[in-house]
Amino acid sequence: MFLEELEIENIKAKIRSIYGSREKKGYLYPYSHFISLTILKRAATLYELEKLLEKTPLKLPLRKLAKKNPQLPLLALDSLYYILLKNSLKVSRDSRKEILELINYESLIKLLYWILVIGKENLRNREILSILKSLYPKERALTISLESLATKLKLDYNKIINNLKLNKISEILLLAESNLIKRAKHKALFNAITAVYVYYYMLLCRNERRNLEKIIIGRELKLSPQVILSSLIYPP
Amino acid sequence: MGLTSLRYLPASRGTLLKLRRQLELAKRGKSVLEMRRDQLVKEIFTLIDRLKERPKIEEKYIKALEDLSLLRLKRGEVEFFSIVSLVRPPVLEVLAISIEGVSVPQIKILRKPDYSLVKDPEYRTLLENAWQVIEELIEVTNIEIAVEKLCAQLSYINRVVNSLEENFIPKLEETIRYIGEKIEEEMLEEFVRLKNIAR
Repeated sequence: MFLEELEIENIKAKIRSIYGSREKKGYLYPYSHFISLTILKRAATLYELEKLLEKTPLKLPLRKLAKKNPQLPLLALDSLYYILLKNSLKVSRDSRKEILELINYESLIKLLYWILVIGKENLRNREILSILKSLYPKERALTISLESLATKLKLDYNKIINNLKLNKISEILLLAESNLIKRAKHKALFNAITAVYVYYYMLLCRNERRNLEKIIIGRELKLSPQVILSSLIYPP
Repeated sequence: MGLTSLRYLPASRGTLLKLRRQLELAKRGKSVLEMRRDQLVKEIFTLIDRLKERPKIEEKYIKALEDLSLLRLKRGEVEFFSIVSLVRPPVLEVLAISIEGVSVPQIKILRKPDYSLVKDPEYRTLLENAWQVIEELIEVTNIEIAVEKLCAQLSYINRVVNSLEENFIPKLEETIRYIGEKIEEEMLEEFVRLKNIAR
């Protein structure tokens, strides 16, 4: 289920291209599991996409959600991914607890992103709260704040605020991602012969993929090596 | 009437009158063209002042593109292009307008890009910045085209004025003087002939 993140990103990209009613198909990750890429590319409306997702675990009422807020289908997909990821864990109880903690941390990063995008006031909506439940407990989401999230993610609140003033969300996400890997390494070192280490390895692979993507894009855009290097997340 | 044909004109009072009228017209035309030239120069100077901002705008444009490249790098190709596809593109039209009587093509923005679907503040800010710079660039381009067209017209008027001043008017004046002298000569000859007959 770990790799389905790419499929979720593809579906999100497809939803955005439907919103933008662009004929151009756009870029998608060359990965598919539930829906083949050619079929996904062919979907021209939210209805068609909803029909495609119906037979998969990613089934969502996309049109209904989009009517309330166009961002909701994207948020719901992110949320669904973490539900599926948590459900797919088949490991010992101890490892499960550790891995769940890492997944929860990752889902909090996503929640932080959505708070920054939609705004925390807009998240306090019954519909959205029910979608958020995999990212954050529903009852606690009512009192959600940027400060509490920063504390949970062990990020410097002032740093977040400073970056937010400059609209530099990418910087905040980069810090959080880097913290996730550090956290995973810490857990992996204490659970060296369990599934936690495997999960840490998978996180490192994902990080490597993202770094490689950044290097390729940077080289293509002829950005200076310093700029490219500053955007990478180094394994601790 | 070409300048070469001037020398073959019959030396008569009618020709002299016609040439004098032509000279008057040429001088009047020259002064009108000079006035127009001055107006064009004034207009060009006003526009050129605004063109001085171009290097600054170009710098801003490069900065905006760099910021967008950096965002593309940080967020990845799939997310970047899918979010950018949410922007409704602007509609531009090229119209011909008249500046000082010169037809100049100008880019007109019929509809600005719509970012309402882009909720990510980082994307929104950078896209808005980029559009602002593009708007300024369009304005500078319009001025540049106007200056180019006005300069072409100015150089054409200059050529005509110079040709009138250096070539046409002096030659016409010379021909008028020549025909005038010729007529005076003929008159004298006629006078002498009549005197001889009278004797």
